[in-house]
Amino acid sequence: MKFSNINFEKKIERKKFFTTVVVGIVTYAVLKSFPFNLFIKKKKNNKIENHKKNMIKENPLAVSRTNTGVNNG
Amino acid sequence: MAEAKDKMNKEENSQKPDVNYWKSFADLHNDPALIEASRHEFNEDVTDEFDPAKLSKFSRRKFLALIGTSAALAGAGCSDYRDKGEIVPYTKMPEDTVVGKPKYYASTFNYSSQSHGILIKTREGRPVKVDGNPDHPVNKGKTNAIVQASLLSLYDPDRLQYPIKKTNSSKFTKSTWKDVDSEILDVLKSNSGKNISIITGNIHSPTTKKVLDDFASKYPGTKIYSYELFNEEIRNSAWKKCYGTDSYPLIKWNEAKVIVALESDFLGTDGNKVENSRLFAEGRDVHNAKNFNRLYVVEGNMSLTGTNADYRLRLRPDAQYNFVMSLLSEVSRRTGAGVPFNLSSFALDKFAKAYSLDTKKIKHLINDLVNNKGKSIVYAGRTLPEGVHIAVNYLNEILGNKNLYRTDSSAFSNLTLSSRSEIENLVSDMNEDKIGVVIHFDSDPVFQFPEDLGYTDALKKVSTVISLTESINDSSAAGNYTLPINHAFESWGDAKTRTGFYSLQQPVIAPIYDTREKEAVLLNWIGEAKSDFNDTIYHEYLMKNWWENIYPSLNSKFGFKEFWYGALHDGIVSVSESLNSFGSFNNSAFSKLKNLRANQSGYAVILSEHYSIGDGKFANNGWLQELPHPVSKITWDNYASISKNTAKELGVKNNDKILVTVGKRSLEIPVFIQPGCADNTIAIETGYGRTVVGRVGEGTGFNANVLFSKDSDWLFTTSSVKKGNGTYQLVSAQEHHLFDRSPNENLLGEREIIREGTVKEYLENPHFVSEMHEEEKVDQIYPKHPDWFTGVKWGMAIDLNKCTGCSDCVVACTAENNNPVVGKDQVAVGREMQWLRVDAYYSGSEDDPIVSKQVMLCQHCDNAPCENVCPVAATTHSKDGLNQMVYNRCVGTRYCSNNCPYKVRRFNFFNFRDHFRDGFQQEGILDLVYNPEVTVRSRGVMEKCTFCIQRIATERENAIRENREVIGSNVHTACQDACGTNAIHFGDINNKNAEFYKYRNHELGYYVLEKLNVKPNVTYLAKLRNTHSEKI
Repeated sequence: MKFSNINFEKKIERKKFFTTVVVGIVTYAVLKSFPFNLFIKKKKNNKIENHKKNMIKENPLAVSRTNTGVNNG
Repeated sequence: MAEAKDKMNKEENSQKPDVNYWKSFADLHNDPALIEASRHEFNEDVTDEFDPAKLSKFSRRKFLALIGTSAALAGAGCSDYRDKGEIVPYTKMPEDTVVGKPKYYASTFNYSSQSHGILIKTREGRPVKVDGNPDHPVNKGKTNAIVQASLLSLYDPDRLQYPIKKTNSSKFTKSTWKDVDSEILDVLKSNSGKNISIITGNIHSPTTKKVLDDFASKYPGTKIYSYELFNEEIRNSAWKKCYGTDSYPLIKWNEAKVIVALESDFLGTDGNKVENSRLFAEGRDVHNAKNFNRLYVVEGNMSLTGTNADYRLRLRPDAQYNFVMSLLSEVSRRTGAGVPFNLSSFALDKFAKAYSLDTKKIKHLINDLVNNKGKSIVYAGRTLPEGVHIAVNYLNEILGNKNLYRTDSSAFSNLTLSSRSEIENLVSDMNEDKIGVVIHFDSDPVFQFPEDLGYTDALKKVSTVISLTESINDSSAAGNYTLPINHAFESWGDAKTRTGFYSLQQPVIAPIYDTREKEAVLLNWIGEAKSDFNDTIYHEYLMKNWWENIYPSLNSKFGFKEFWYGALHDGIVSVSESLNSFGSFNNSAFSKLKNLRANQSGYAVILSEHYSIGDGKFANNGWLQELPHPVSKITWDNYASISKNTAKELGVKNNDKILVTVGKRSLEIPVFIQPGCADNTIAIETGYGRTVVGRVGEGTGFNANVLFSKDSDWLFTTSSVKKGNGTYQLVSAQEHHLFDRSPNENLLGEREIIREGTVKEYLENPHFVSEMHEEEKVDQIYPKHPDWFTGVKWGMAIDLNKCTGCSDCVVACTAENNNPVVGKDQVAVGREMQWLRVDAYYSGSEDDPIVSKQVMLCQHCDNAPCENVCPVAATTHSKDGLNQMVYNRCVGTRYCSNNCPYKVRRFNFFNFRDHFRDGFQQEGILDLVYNPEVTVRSRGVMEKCTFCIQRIATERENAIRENREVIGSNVHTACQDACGTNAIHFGDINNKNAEFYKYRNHELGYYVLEKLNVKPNVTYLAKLRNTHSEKI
């Protein structure tokens, strides 16, 4: 088998790709650990606060009916 | 011999020339552009935004490398999929609540002059659907589009959320109730001897009236002014002159054999549309064809009522008076009835000639009126002058049509509308600095009052202007304080708009924002806000009013509390009330018309109420803005309707602007050439063009209120019209979702889209529709589904005789199935997402066409062509006959939509919730409007009518729990529930005992595009026109 056609540039690009992937995994692990995970939790709390602004409260004095009548199934 | 004759008749029928149906003038004249467009599934502009040439040159390797990094970062940023916040069941579940099961509440929704009994469906405490209250004697379980869409107004992000007040810099800033109450009380107490004016709309509630009276007692110098942009004052005034009683009686439409509507859209905006449609449709029962009513419509512009006419005459509205007098002249001659003065100058034949009216139709009209004395009604529209109403009352009198006036119930007014002179006096008092405080009590006079009244300028001279309103409007912008009030679903109340019963209103949800009931605001000021505001202040006041003033007269067997809770449960309380009978006709009222002549010159301009936007109150409601106009199918704008001849005269075409001038007032507005509009008539609907409105209504339409004058009503006879400057794009859905066609193909006649006949034809040959059927059908490729459809098989039947084409079903479907609003620009490229559409087809002459309406939705075909072409099996067929859509399988090839012959599939080109008005529909509050029983679809997914599968699923669950079979009649689709005329029937095709079976298998039934052999499960009952001949 002849290896004269192997492109050494392609070998270097492949190396870069795997380096990028490893860096990504390490970054993920770091961001998931303390203290970076604190920032993520705060963002979650804001969503809950926004939902609380639109709280629904039934009117306890309203009278419901189970019989919806002839026309409303 | 008989057999041969039969065969000949059948051959003749199958070969008889089909009526030429067309959807627009372009369609009629075979415009090549339209034919080409109809061949393409999607409009040419649809893929304009995607240009491959603009893609960047980016290598795949670089792309993958970046993907790897961004995936890692995205993964780091993602939260645990389980941790979306806390979702907990009720820790203290309210009684009678079962999570996942809806609750229903009876209530009332009031707007304009109407009061609707409603049933609000709630899920986990929030309203998700509104329908009619079946116990309400007027509504009888039905509503209209405006009431259906009121749900969206509850969750409108543009609603006022807190009080605001104007600072010295003329900008509004946030305030608190405590501050505004304190400041306003100071003003009310120290008013320096000036008067207080409260401007309100129609007062539907007797308790609200009492609050206003109490306020007036507490603060002397208070005067209440009540007005409505469209009202019955002219009709009532004419009635009073003729018969002496205050209000025009209600009509027994269901007992009328002949109805003559003169510029009256009684099936649309003139009166209570829900009741009128129901009663009218009772006279259109295919099971009792011999007793069909006959509708004559004489009008300037094509209205919803006009599209349902058996005979229609085009007549400019300012000629109606002369027309009625001509009718009177002819009728009195035929019947020998004496008239107070000589009517010979009003000869009907001369009139018909002068206005190019069809003499044959006129002859039929006279004959029908004379031959149906006591069983006919001539009804004039509320926008016509008083003289017309008096003449019409006299005509009905001599025809003996008093029998059709209801004597069991009449309209009831809690507060008479203020007269024109009273409003003028108010403005002059404001100018003379006699008014210290003006309170806009849920009204918008700055937008609605005529400009020449000078109200807006006079308002600047008033030191304190308070607006109590749900959202900002022109009047609130002109004031100092804008105080937010509760939506109807958050409010207590009662209503009395008819004799014989009261209607109650209860809040089904606590106020979402920091708002108060408008009555509670006044009560707080009456009590001088001495103690902390109590949310229940108006509830207690309401109960007290009932306990003291209404309950004692009812002679109820129950104690007050039991009675009260029962009343809230039912939503209505019946009372026995006797009506003042109207006496005999006052001939002097008619005699005074002796010298009255209606003169016409130039153009007649008539202003009318928009079908869904009303007087402008609902301009910020996306469902109503996007609802195609029932006649023109235009969305998101108003326009000037003109005839083809008038357009030629003015040198304009569709979308060109014209300048309409009435006196010193003018309006530039785009035109729409409406088939059936009378020549020299300009018809404009109001409600659009608000300058102070939320994000949805911003920039929509043109303010036609500028044409109103303090001295005139809705009809202007001395107006000038000329071509204006520029154009404005109007978006109409009329030519969207066209059926595929070849040039010169009589699509509708030959391909069985519209089938219709006459009552006479049907009575002579009940099977005439089936004889029209194509015997030759396309071969079926697939074998019949084995063992399927032996149980329940769902189907629908639509009775085109009862369907008026009002489009209430479209809004009901949108509300039930979480359909998004897409906006004008997307409707322009045919991307409206409404699952139902009401197709309108014209036939006959260009100038005076007949209109045929057809509700089109997914036909749930047994041999569905859409199912075979889906590469991922996202659309399948169920064993109970439903064409199902699996949203999470759909990859968006759109092949199914391409293959659908009915063009009923809708594709989510965008996540419209993100796309429309910069994410307006993604505001948190709008999440509450969604029906939790229906998936909310996102981008790239196809959707269509599901026959309300969520309601079918509910019935299945109930059947399992109750250990019984599924009963087809227990399932009502949203469109069926909303249809005021009961034109839509749904149920089990296989149940021969069900009421539905009679419609499904009726001799008038046919399938659209039957030749394709796709086996649709929607049956249409052919429309019968009640004309004097066998031909349409």
